[in-house]
Amino acid sequence: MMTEERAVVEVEACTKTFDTGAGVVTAVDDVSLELGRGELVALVGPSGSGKTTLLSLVGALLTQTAGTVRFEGTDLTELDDRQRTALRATRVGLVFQTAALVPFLTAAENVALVGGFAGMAPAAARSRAEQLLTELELGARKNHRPGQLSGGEQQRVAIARAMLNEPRLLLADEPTAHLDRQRGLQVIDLVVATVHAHQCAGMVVTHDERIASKADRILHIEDGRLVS
Amino acid sequence: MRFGLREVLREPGRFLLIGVAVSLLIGLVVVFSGIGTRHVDDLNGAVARSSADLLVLASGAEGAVQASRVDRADIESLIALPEVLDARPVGEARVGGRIDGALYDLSLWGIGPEGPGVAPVIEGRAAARDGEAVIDVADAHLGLELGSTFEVADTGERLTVVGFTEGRRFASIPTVVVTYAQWERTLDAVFADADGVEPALIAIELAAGHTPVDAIAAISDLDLPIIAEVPEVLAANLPGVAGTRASFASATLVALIAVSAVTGLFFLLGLTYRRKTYEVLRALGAPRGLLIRALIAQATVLVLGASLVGGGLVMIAAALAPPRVPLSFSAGLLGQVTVTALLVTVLSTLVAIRRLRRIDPAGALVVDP
Amino acid sequence: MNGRAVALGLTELWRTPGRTLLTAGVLSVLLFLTLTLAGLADALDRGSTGVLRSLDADIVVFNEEARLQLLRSRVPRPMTLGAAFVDGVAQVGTLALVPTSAETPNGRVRVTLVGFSATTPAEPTTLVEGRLPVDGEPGIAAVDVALRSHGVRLGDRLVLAGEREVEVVGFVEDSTFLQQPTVWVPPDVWARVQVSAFPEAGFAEQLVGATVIRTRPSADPTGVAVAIEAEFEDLQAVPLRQAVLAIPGVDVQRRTFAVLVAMSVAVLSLVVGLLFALLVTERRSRWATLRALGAPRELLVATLLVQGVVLWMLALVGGSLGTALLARVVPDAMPLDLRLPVVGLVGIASLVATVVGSSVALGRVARTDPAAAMSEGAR
Repeated sequence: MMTEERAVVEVEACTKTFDTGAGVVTAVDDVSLELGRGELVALVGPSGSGKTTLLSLVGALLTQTAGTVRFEGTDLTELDDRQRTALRATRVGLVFQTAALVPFLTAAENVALVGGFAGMAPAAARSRAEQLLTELELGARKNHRPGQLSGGEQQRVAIARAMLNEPRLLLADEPTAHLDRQRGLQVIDLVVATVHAHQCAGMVVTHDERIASKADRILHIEDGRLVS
Repeated sequence: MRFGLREVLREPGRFLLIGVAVSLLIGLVVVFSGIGTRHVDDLNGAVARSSADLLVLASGAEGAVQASRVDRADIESLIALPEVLDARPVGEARVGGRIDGALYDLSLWGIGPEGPGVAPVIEGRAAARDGEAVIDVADAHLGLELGSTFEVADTGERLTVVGFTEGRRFASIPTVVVTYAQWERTLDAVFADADGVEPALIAIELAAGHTPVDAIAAISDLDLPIIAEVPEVLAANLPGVAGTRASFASATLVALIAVSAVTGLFFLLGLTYRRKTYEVLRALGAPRGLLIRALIAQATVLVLGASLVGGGLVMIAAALAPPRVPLSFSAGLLGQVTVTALLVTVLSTLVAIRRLRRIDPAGALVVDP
Repeated sequence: MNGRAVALGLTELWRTPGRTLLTAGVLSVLLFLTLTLAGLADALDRGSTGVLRSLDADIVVFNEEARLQLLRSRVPRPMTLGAAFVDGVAQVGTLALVPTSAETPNGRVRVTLVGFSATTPAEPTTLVEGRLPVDGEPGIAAVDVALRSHGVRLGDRLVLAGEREVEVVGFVEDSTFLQQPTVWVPPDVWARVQVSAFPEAGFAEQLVGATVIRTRPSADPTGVAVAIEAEFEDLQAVPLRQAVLAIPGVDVQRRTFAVLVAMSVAVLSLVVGLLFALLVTERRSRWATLRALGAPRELLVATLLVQGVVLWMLALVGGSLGTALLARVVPDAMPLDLRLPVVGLVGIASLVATVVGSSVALGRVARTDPAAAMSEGAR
């Protein structure tokens, strides 16, 4: 249910096609949705349904073929590449399927890294990173490298990285795909708690209905179209 | 092996880049070897390929032919030795030559027309009379052919080219061979105030049944200010020869090390890049030997291809290079370099092979962060 | 942003020492090759030309038949004296060479005997110990420092051409000719050794080797050389650098080694290009992730560039050490030297080669699609 406050993300009649050389593929077909503050939306669909593509459009990683995507009222197609990059650095938090931490940086350094992208002073970024890791019960592991962390710990570091710059939108692409059930539930609980606590908008892509059930709202997508 | 070759064919970009680098390195090795040999030949060919059994020069010259002057009278003493069948004077001097209007420094050799030391010709005939000259074929590009004439600038004499020899240059300048009588006449005209000109060397033909060692000892016993040596040894000790050989040998060795290092790194990095693929293959049951043979096959194809390209580049460069640049191409040399490069490359892949042997098939199931 | 790029680039190199050392090691081998070639070329060049480069002179005058060859030049003395009166000439001297041998404490060695007129432009300026002979002073010589390795010291007596004794009163450096050490003597000593080694040359007191000229500061050496040739028909006058180039083998050597060094630098550029191409391909997903997280293109490019420069620095140090070590252990017969100017030149060329070689990879990094960070992401 939408509050009267403006949505963080507004998607209107958005379509995204790809020319694969062997023909045109419509990954997202005439999708409309809104993401509001403090609400986690789960996007569920089978493999190849277009859910990651839709996530990429919302996160200013891709540009739609037709339709509009607005972020806090700004049409993303009006932004050039530099502006979209800056948007992702300052207002979007991304959590990837495989955590995607930089292998030669410690946990704290991985988290602080994005502070630099947003123009934060190194000392401030480091301090904030350590604070976030402590909140996520990883304070004792802040100087460990990704190779020394478990899968679940890596994803928690990734969540901390996503939150360093106080984003307005948190996007998670199958964050539990490579975790066991227990750790997967822990991670999704963390995502939910983060969205609620920081009052940002959130979208999590998953094919697992159990994970999706933790979200505030579930959207189903099939063959690029929202079916519910 | 087919597996390895298929990767080369279907991912040519990676192999092309390293192939070009290795081609240039192999080209460098061929060039070093060729230039080094050619430099040495240009320095001492006239001595190294002398047909004499021994060459005698002044002991005070310290092996430098240009600084040697021997007493003609010593020839009598030499011929009197039982080890010596024949002994003839050989002259060497620098003169100016005007060829096709241009002035050159020439190394003028006076030998024969008969006796030890006369240079065999590959075209035409040997100089037999005054006014005739044999030129090294490497100097034909100056505008000389059989029958053409050129001037000895110091005296105004004209010489006619009657033959070409090969590999008999001296001191890296155009080399002309005339009869000893012609040489004496020329030098007499240059040094008109002198009481004649002494030869630089004496060429010796050994009597049957006698060895160079015997003859050298016998000549040493004469207690004259001369020493005798076999032409190859004398040539090796000429000024600049040892340094030139060592320089180019070192450069060749370093270039071969570079081939080894570059290809070794390439395959090691490739292994890191492809680690997951190899883990999956091992998990699927591929034997270690198959993967190792694939790697060796790639290394072999890389070197063979690079040798062809590198050799081709050298061949083109040798054809286009001005005559003054001592660049030449030899298929035999390329073959030797290719074999050596193959060897060092296979050795360099040992580190990658060792890593390949330790690939853990269980790693196929681990998702990389 | 530059600071972040430097920090990120250096951090990765520092924390992946195996890969860093391996890559730097290979590049070091290539720079070792390049520096060895350049060092060889430099040493060969200097070893052949020192006798002229050690002079403070602007013009060298030969007789025309000599074709700019020092060993063959015979300029009549009256012409030498006459050249002093040509407009623009400040001072003249005489220089004559003959190859011979010298008996040293360690045995006989090939040398080039140089007869020179003292306190003139023909005097070497590279005296490092003792003094130079003065004209007319009999039986003394200054020698090139290369003879120290043959056991020669100040005060030793050398026997030239097996018969003429001279006392060593001084050492000069960097004055060799065609890789042979020089022995500097008054002109009359040279003349006597010359006639003894080459009797046909005679003892022509009125002939000297070459005439060496220093021009007035305001004069143009090329112009003065032309004026000398116009004044004296049978003479050929050239600027010093042209006389250096005319020394046998120098020109061909310079051209040949220039090509070889260029080829070596080209190989370096290609290998760097390959390494960076492999790096970029291997870390494709990481670049995409960083772009997705908001890293500007420039940061990624700068990071890679920083790594390239650091690897180049490591390789230059490694290559220089290798060549310097090789120069120490090779036999004296092989001329190899590594001077700072050569390292500097090769360093600059190799840095440019590194940047050029990595440019394609840098371009690819700059074009990284952030959407590729996602699982189904951009196709």
